[in-house]
Amino acid sequence: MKASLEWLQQFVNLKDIPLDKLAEDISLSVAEVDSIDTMKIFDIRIGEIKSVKKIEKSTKLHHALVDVGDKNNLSIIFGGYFPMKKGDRLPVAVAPTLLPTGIQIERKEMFSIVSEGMLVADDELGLNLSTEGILRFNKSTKIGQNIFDYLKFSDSLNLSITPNRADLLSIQGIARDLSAIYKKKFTSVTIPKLNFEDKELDQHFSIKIKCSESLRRYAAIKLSGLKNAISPDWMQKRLSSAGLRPINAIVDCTNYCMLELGQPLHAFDYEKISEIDVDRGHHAGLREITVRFSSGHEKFSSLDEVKREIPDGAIVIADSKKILALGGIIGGLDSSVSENTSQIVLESAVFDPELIRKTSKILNISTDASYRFERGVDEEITVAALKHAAGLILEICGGKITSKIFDFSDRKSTTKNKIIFSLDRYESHTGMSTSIENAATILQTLGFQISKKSKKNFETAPPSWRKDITIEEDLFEEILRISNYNSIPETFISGQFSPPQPNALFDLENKTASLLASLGWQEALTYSFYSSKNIRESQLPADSHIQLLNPLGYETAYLRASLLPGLLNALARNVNIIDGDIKFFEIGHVFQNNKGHITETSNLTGLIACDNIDKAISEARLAIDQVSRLLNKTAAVKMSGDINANIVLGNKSFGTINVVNLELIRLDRKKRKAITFNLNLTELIKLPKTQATFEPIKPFPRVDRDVTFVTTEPSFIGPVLSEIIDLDDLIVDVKIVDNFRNTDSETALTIRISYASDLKTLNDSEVNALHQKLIKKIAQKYKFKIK
Amino acid sequence: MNINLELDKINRSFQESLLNKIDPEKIKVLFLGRKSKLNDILKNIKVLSGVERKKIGAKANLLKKEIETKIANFTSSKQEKPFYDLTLPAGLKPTYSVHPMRQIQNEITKIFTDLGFEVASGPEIESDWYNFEALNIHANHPARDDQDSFYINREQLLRTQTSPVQIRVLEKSKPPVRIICPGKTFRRDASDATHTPMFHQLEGLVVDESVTFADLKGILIYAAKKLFGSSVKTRFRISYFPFVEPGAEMDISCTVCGAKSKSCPACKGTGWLEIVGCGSVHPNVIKNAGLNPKQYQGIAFGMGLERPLMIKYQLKDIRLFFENDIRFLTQFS
Repeated sequence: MKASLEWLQQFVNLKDIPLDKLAEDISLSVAEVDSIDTMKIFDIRIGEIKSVKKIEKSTKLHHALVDVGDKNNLSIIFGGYFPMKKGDRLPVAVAPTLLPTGIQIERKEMFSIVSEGMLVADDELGLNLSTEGILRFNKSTKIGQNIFDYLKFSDSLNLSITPNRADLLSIQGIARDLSAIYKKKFTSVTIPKLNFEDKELDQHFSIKIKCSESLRRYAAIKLSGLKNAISPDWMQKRLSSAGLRPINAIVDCTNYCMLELGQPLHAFDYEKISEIDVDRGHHAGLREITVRFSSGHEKFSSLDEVKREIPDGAIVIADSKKILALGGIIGGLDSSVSENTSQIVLESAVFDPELIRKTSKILNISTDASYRFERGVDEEITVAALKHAAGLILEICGGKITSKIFDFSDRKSTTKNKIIFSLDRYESHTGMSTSIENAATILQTLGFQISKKSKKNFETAPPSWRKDITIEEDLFEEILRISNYNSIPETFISGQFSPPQPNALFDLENKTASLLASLGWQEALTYSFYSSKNIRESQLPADSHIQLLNPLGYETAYLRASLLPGLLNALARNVNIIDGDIKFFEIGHVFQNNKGHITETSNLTGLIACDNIDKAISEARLAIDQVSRLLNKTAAVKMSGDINANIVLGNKSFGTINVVNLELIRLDRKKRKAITFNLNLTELIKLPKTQATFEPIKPFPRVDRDVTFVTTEPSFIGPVLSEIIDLDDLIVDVKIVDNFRNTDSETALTIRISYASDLKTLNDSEVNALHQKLIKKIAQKYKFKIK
Repeated sequence: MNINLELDKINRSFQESLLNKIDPEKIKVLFLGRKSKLNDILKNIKVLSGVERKKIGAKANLLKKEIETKIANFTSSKQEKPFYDLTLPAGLKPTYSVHPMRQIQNEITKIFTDLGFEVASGPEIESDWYNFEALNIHANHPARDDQDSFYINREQLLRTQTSPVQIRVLEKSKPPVRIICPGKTFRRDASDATHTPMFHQLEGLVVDESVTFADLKGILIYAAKKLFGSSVKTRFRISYFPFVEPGAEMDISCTVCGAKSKSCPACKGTGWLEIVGCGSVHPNVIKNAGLNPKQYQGIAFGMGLERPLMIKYQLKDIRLFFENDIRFLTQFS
């Protein structure tokens, strides 16, 4: 909502308040001020042409010297579109300046002539100010004056009105709040008493209401003998200040009243309303408007020249043959007011907000009218707005009233809601103290009625324009905002405190992230959705994915069931930036559809790309082991396919580790290989807690013995190592020293076994005997040769 | 002069030279060179008498040998000094990090957990009830205009805010409730420099028998000072969220221009940055969570996390957070 200061001033005197302060106070207590539009920043002045001559080398351009009130005349080059002669006074932009349309005017040189500004036409100002297309000023004007000062353009404020404050979608509403903030007198619009003579009334026109349950109010009046013209300057200026384009006097008056009072109005060209057919038993020349629900997929061309099918159950204004308007949303092309219109039916109504919202959503049209109706228009102002608009139209276009004021109102919507205000509750909710008088006064200045006032309580009825006020807390907000939130004291929460319960998943996620980062993995953050292409490429099962009903495009078609596609994208983005190993991980929710049952779990996925696949595997394993250690658990890896294995804790699988298919690693010129692993963190934290335990350090030295097994068959090392450690109690550690694959596909696996006893220092012969026995056992089982 | 004494003097002089760390090459010339005193003595030794020649010869040759060895030792000990390069780079580039989003999320969360708040979490797939209805946002409420949602079926959607966690927690816990809830949220906004269909929020809620709007101010101002420095200024202004009443927005003084520039891109010259929406919990929300609004009242606040990060690092494009360019991510340690 754009509100010009000049217009607000009509309701409340703001002359003593600096613009910056006004804007700040409005932001604090009324609605956020997004920006302040001030035309005075544009250096466009009234200038007088002192001389003009054609530039010889150019076909179109002219050169003028222009007096703009400075010591020297300005040299300006201009096109020949508008005729110019010595003595003409025109708008002149003085370089360097910006035009309201955003064009930057700079000094420039052409044909060896410096141009120090520009003669500005209406379209370059973005305004429609003259019939010629460029403003011309008369001799009584002051050369050098800013044209916006001369035109009395006002500064205006751009406000973001929150959806609860429908009353602020009008100048009057904003002014009312300002009068409460500054404790200043509020002057409302004077509504004319419309006088008419009974003999002038048209007996041929009537209105029928057939959808009273969705109408809060419906008022209309017929005006005849109008001469539609352009609206007066002051009205055009106010409309432009609010961002509306002046059209013609009748339409401008309806828009003007909407902006001023918040009540959308509509004017129908009476002559375009169809007469009721004579053969149906009616007199000739009868015209009737029916306000009804639409049915049977009716079609209609709206003012914006679009043919639309109206959803059944929407409110339409119709004559006996066609639809005249889509109630509360948009008028019809076939009944619209033109320059030739001389008779109108002027409508001022309030429609059911939810129905308007529904219809406008279905048809995807939002208008100034529908926007206000959705949020709730005050049905107590409907008739006043009708009179106000009719009065303005008669004043500008002449003519007379030719119908009584038709006025339908729904009694239900006018019942007043009474709210009890309690000072004690106010103080215990806000932490701020006030007096009952202060609370009552603030509410009264906002239009609330106060009754049954006692020392601590009163009863209040909100004004008809404040449909958002229904409970006591709403009153608290009114008092707080008018007193200014910043006057509320700052206190600290009191009450009983106990140590907060830890959030196991949140903690695990964060510890995991720090741990992996310190192991050289970079945390990635990818979108929670992906495309069907991602599913296909990563060879994920499509049927376990959840599809979005209304994606934003193919890239958001599916909710992710795996973090891998996102990490593969991250990898592809970086493969040609980093030449060594690349390690990414992500922690986030994944979603699965198990035959209609939706699950959502937090997962950790890692992806490492590396020249050496064995290095990638052990880096991934280190990450897995370290994450398991966070929970005092030990993970094992069990092969489940040629390139897949399960990560097992206890007896249960909590994730997988896989070799990534080479074709999934896109764009990599170095052709790195990749390993990915995944752990389901939601499941991991369900494992019973393992307490960290202490084992005494072995008092006797340990003895190491190496063995090299040679095998021609590929063999998994993991199970061999875990089998060895379980062979004897004296074995305290087993590790790989070397794993050498020679060209004959013969593998030499050197393992170091460490022996120690709790009871004594082991001697060589004991250890050797045991060692020989054990390695023979292993060699036999796995068909290894001992080297 | 007594040749014997002469030799002793040469020896003393040589020892001094060693102690004074004179260049071994110079010492060599000085004590063993052709013009050295020792060389003179050795050259003239044949003129001495037998006994003396034997005695002096032995002593002079011994001295010569000693000088030679010492000089040799001195130079060789210099050559064999081991070489250690302590300027070698790290084996692992220490620039890898947790994502900046997690960093700020944890930084803010910790402010509140340190004050006794619990970390709560909720699902990202939410029901219409928790995401909207229970929060006082009915089906035809205009507030839904700003929250265009991704639906997965008629009843379930991706949460548009972290606020549904308020209801989930209140349903399960008896007040006092003090929670902080960071998480992902989703709105059907096409990507541009200031929008992404996925973003992050952080929600706070306190419900007790006597928590006030003044408490809300106290805690948010404390958090703002902790996060943006104690010199940051704050202001509260009217706002509207259907699940709070009274509703407010807290702004902080612009940390980019110090509230000094009329053309500041961050605060647009207003001097203020909008940071957190807040208010007293609407009694309907307390009721919808199964508690008695006559007995319990609450305060709540919610903030986006991308915005403070963008302000902090003066980033102009929100999409950077989700593009995973390692040259971007590794700048946040």
